[in-house]
Amino acid sequence: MILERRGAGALLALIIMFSLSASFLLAFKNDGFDIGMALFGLGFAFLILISYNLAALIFRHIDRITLVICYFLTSIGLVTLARLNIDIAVRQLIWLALGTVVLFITVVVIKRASDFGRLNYLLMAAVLGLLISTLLFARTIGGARNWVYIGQFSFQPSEIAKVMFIIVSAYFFAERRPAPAIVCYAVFTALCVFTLVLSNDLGGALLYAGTFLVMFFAGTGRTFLTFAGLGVLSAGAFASYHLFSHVRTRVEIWQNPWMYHRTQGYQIVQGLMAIASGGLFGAGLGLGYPDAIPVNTSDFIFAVICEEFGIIFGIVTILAYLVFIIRGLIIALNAETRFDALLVFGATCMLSLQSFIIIGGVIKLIPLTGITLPFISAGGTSLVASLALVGIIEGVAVKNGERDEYEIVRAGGEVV
Amino acid sequence: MQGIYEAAALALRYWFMFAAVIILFGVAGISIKEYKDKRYVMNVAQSSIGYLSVISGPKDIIGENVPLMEINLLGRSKRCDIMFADRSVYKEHAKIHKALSGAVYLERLDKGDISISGRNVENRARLYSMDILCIGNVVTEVHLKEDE
Repeated sequence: MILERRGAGALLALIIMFSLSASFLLAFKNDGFDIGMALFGLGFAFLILISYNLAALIFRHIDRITLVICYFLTSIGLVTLARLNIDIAVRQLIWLALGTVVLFITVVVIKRASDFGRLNYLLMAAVLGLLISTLLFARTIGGARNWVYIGQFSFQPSEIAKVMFIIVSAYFFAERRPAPAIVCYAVFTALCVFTLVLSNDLGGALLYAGTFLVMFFAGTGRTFLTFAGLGVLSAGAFASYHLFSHVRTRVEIWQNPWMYHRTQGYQIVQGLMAIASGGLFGAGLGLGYPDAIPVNTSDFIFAVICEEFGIIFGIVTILAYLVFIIRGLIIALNAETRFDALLVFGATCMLSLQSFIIIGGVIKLIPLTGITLPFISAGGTSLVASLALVGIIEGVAVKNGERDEYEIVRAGGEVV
Repeated sequence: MQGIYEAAALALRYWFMFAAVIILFGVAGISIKEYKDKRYVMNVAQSSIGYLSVISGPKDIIGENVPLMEINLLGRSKRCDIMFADRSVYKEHAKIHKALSGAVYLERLDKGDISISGRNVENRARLYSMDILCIGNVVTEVHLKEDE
């Protein structure tokens, strides 16, 4: 009885070939050969090769397929960013290297941790501190006030906070906690969402509230209360629509962006036109007009991907997120403790909701709220936070793998 | 130069799409296969009570670990749960089963030789971990979960 863990070397090789061919093509875009672009492609290939093999070497039971999907999405993002602006792409590559270290550290921490105990109250304070710091010190970019600058360095506190939010939520839903603790947690969540709404970070607010609701349902199984929470969320959204003019504007643009195509609806209209002009097979890498799309390196990067690589490629990207979600759910279902299961469920849910909110916004399925597309959009804090969430998923996968191997060895089998 | 670039970019669109589709199918295919394999192996591992490690006997099974379930029929016949393709083993040679008490017993079903750690078994005997179980010329070492 042998459990064969399948490697994903061939898929990794294909990802490397994809990114190398794209970067070498882009190197010829302007007259002559851009050596910087070629080196960028080689740098990315080297980084994912080293980090994949290192991860498989250090953590025997790491979920390799999840890691490969993560690298696939990152490669799409880096190639698109390199096409738009090589400086941003290089910065993103450096963030990817840093994020990989964070992923490894998170795996070690999650593998050793049980449920963080009272440390969760400290994490709650840290989350609130980070979110309130945006109200006090953040600069407004793209309508949302969520960037904090320290000298030349800038970061998004809400991105770091979301990793801790998942841990805190998993702790409170894993067991039946005393009433004061639950009240404390409910107030904490409400404060998080309220602070984000005040910062105009509606995407972040929706992400936190949505993740809370899904984790609440997964943790307690109470359908009525979940729907009640959904009702409160809808009432909040309705009140925001009437109270805040920017929310009202977003909804009106969503209903008919063509009416505002020169003003507030410009982004969505340009995004939709880019997707349509790309067609099924795309305009070709470097042959589209992504400069016409505002915020093309972050919020609207999906429109750029569809324009240059085609709608089929865009659908494949969405399906890759879907496979990522399914793998996350399988890891959550295999987890030994409720805390671990909720941790993975929360991390998967947060990444999937984030993808849905921004892709849905770009294709006019839901009102647009500024948020990054996980692994793909430019943004160091976002990439590191997404990789930390992958670290949470992988940490529990390693725990599951060790437990499974113990069972298999006791039955005379082995894991190869 | 620009014309060559455009031609290359247009041609490479199909390669990018092909690579993405193959990666997606590869990831999905491996996920499904891995899930099925794992489910099967874990079902066997979780319901097994231990295993027999083959020390000597037919060359092709030496060194193999055979999982033991709650009830196991041992013999040469294909109908047996644990099959030893050796002439010294009877068609239905013995039965290993777990009693309600949790103890694991070996029952002799035919006239064939059975011994546990050198002691011949007439009808029935209890098995413990690290016992050397001989069925005909097949020698195995017993490993039981509850004893280890």
